[in-house]
Amino acid sequence: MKRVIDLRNLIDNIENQLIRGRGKWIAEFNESFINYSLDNFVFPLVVRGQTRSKGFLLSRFFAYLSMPNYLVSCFVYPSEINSYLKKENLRILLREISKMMKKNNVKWSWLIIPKEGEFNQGIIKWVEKNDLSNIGIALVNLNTKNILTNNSVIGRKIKTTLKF
Amino acid sequence: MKKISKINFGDLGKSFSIFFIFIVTLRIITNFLFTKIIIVEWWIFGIEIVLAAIVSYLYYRLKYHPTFSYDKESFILEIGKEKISSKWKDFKFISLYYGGLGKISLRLYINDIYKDDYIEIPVSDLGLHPKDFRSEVSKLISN
Repeated sequence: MKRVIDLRNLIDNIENQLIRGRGKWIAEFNESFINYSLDNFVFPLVVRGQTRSKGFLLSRFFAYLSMPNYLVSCFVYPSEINSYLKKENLRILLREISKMMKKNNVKWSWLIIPKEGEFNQGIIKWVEKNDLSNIGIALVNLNTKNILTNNSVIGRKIKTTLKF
Repeated sequence: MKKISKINFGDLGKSFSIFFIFIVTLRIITNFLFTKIIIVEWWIFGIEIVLAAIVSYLYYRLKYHPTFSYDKESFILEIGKEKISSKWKDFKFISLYYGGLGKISLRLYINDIYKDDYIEIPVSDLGLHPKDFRSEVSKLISN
């Protein structure tokens, strides 16, 4: 039987996993914000980093020669903040994130939306069909621990990187 | 005002190593230049350790030693001789920055997190629990 996790634990869990290098094959996350506000949206957690790892001597030198230094970020936006997440709100949220990414030269982002319960079918279908290549979206059902992502490479990576 | 200060043995050790190597190298070079022999005596080695310890401690106090004082309204951060004071309400965003090798600091951003206008409080050097301190500062900023 799967253990039910609560929202606070999930947010802590995501922060710890990313900071401890869980996503090191795609990026090194090294800074975490709480209650970060972007326009009208407040994110309880935002973690950011870059694709070039720091490492020590040889690994740093190798990373310098082989990796581009793209900025990346991960946003956590619980559906509970906006008790009934609508497609339109999600669209606005993605637009704000895209705007911020363009302004600050952030190459790609993850948007993780956890919820204690089922997401409505409209949102699920919309996310599955979403083809944004630079934003990965994940809908996380905290009761069943089921993760649903959009179909981009960045989106699919959320499933393989984070363990809930 | 609540005052937090802690000797950071990492930085102290780093300055000790640098000064010790410098003093020993200097002694060996001057020995060799004036006498054409390298004197190896335990008491000289002892003096060098004591001298390096004194100089490195003074250097550490002037360059690295962190002291942090704060209350509900404002804070004062001293790193060695440098001193910064500010009010909590001047800041909009806070973050925990993981600099590697166990160094964690709390960054206070004035407006934009993608600009370099932030103050960095060395949380791990001060011996504070990063997440608890972040929660405390988060409340102070929002007040």
